[in-house]
Order: sequence, then structure tokens, then C-alpha cells
Amino acid sequence: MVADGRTSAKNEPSKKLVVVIAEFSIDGVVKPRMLVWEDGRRFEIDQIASMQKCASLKSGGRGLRYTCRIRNRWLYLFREDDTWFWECAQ
Amino acid sequence: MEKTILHSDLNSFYASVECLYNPRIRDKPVAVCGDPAARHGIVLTKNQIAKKCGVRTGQAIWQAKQACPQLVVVKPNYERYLQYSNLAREIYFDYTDRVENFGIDEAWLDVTGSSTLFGSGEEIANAIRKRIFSELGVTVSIGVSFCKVFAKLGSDYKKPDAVTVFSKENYKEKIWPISVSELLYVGRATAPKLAKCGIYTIGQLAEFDVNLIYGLLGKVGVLLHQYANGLDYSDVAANDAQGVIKSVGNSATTHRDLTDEDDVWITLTMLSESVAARLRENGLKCKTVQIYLRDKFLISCERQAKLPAPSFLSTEIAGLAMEIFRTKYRFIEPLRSIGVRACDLVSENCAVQMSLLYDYHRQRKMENLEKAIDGIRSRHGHFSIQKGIMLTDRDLSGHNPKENAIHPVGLLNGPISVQGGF
Repeated sequence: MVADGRTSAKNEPSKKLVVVIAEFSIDGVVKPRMLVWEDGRRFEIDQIASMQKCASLKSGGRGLRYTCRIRNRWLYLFREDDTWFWECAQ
Repeated sequence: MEKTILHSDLNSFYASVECLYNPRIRDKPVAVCGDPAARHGIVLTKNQIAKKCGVRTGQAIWQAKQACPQLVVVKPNYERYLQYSNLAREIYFDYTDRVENFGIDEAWLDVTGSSTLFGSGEEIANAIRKRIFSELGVTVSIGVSFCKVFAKLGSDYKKPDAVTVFSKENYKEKIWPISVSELLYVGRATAPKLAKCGIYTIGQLAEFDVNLIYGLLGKVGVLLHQYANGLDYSDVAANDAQGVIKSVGNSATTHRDLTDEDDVWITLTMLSESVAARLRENGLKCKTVQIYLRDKFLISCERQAKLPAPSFLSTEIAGLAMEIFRTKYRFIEPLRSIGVRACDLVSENCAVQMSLLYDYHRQRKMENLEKAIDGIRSRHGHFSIQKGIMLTDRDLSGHNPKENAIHPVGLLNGPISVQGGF
């Protein structure tokens, strides 16, 4: 399911940025609902198991990390300021 | 009641942030360096690998590359560092409201009142250390002690990613053998003076006769003697505490050497605009203008003069700065860097001794004009409105001096006060 996402600026080559459709609740909580891939395919997020502030040593960055399940695969989705990037959950 | 003070120091801060954002350089020697084209090409921070190769902070890039040919040189990203510094502060505020910044990457925390909630100083320090690594991806070393000076020594004692505790029971055994030059306020000038008296370690300073130290260094000597004995009673300032502003200054190392008075005038105008705008932001006026000059042989000097009336006008500050330059400096060698400082500050609404010779009506008109310029710049950017002279040489005037300003801080707020009748 998981293909390569868009790579970011050349000084952060390993970061896989992705378009996310998210829900903003009235109490300010933001939850991602869907990933939009580069080729236009959309993947609904079936479950968010946890949300925590976290650094990403693998991709390089930090932010709010959502542990998401999409079609029985787990991945980490990071929200860093106004951008989103993902990495495989191990 | 004994205080519990933490001093937190983000290790190799700029380099750690760059290594986090670029995993490919993480296992290489990395140095964050200023822009060589702008003649700021020195090492600002290096990572542990570069440090082991002999790279030192303050070295020119070519010197650093000589010491370590594989060195990866990275440009600084101040916006990101400031953001990281604020994120670290947010973590500190989860444990106490008494957080005092000491530069961009260091802070003191007074956790005396939080120990019933979060545990001992060491437990809080370890919790902060783990959270900073997991949430921000950088390491921190933290010193825990009963005073600020020893807490700072603790954060330098073991790096990276470590917690060091100096208690009243162990400080003589652990701190006293440390070189006296590690103590706060013992620098390049003081250390040799102490060495002449046979003082090489903090313990030797602590046991030295305080009257002799007073004779040698004055009040600062007594202060250092007290520091060495753990007698530092200063409080950690609350998070919203703001020190009284004593001066507002700005300096620049220009892209090329300043060779004639026109170059100097452009640079002084640019710097004075920034200084005047910051004075207005803080509701202050200055009575004295100081200039700082450094020639291409790195010989520097400072000169100052008084304004006829307190002012926050860039035209008046720049005008006086130029007059000081013309009358009090012999311009022989090209200048490498230049600075303007407004000191002797008063509130903008303070009572002023009127003079028959000064045109207050014109000053009021100029104040309105410069405030209008501030308004335009805040809405449309710094370069939306400029003086004509700025367009004559973009090399000298092409950057906004208010940007990327990281202000130095000191531990002592106000004059030195020591106990014991000195």
C-alpha cells in the first residue's frame, strides 16, 4: 500500500511529505482522516491508536506523532507545524 | 530551606538540530558555520565527532577544514533554533514556572517548590532529559545543585545526555578539583591574575584569603570567592520577568570593508534605523550614542557622545554617530565591522530640561514620521520604505539588521553586590 511519498527540500532528503485531509474538532484537536498520495489515490485512516509529541530520528524532524492504521498496516504520521510526513511504524 | 536548582544545556545545539533534520550527516563531523560570502565564515557549533577531530568553535572555516578535511559545513537556520529553544522551554514549564533563559540553549530552573509533585531535583532532571530527547530529538545535559553557579558547573561536568548532582555533601570533593577557569566570570583576563597567586582550581580559590582576593580583583574577586564556596544566593527569575533594558545596540560585519565616509554613513544609517525602531518599540529614548569600530586588522575601539535632548529618532542617532566618527576617530585602515549603541536610556515620556536652542517642534514632526515608517514596515516589510541612500550600495544596506538578532545575556542583573561589608 505504501509507496514513496514526495521528498522534501534537498537539505532534508529523507523526509516523506504527504497531503492529509484532517478533522479539526471544536476543542482544537486535529485528527488526520485520509492520506492523499502523489498519484491522487486516497487512503482512509481506519484507526488512530495514539497521539504524542515525538522526534523522528528516522526521517529527521519532530512534531505530533499519530500512530495510524491504514488497511491493516501501521504507520506513523507526523504533523510538524503545518506539514505532514510519514514513516513506517516498526 | 535549601533550594533545588537545575541548569539545562542543550548539547551542541545548532549542530544537533541540523543532524536531526538531516539523518545522512548524523554520523559525520558536522559544523554549523556562518556565511563566508558575508564574511561570517566561522564555526558557530560543531557536533561531537567534529570536536574529536579538533574542530573548535570560533575557528574560520578553512582552519576547521584543515583540522578535519571530511567536515560537513551547514548553514545556520536561526528560525528553527529559536523554535526549538521555545519548545524546550515549554517542557521546562511543565515542571516549574521559574525558568530563566541564559542564551538560546541554556536555562536555569528553580524546582524547589515542585519536588513534592515531581520528585527530587535529580528525578526531575532525568525526566526533562528523557522528554527532550524523545520529543525534540536532541540531547541535553543538566546540572542539579543548591545554587545557580554550581548547577551551571554541573551541566558542563558531564556531556552529552547526562545529569550531574552537586550537593552540599559532595561539592568539595567534586567541584573543588575543577580548573578555576570553568567558574562563571573567570575568563581570559581573570584566570592569569588568579594563577599569579597560585590559584588554579576552584578549591584553591575557595580557601584563599578573601581580603587578598578583594585587593587583587575588587568586588568581583569577593563574588568569585563566594561562588567557589557555593554562596550564591541569586534567585532564578520568574518566566515573565524582564530585566531593565540598559542599552540598545546593533552591529554588523559588512560584506566588504568600509573604505570611505560614504560607506560608513550608509552602514551607520542602517544600524541607527534598527536601534531607533527598537527604542520606540520599548518606549525608550536615549541620551548618549556610542559607536563601535573594528578595522581589518581586528583592532577595535568605542567612542561616545551625548545628544542635545533624549531621542529615539534614527536621523538624530545616525547624525551623532557620524559626527563622533568624524571627530573622534582617525580613519586610516578600512573598517571590517561597525556598531551603534543607544545608552543612558530614559522613558519616552519623561520630563526633559528644555533648551532654547533645540527645535522641539521639528523633533515632534520627525517622531511622527518615523512612527509612520514603523507602521508601514510592520505591514509591508522592512524594505517597503527606505532612505534613498540605501539604494546606492545594496551590499552594505541589503539586509534587515533587526532580523536574526540573538541578544547576549548576563547572569548579574544590575551592579555587583556582595555580602560581608566589601
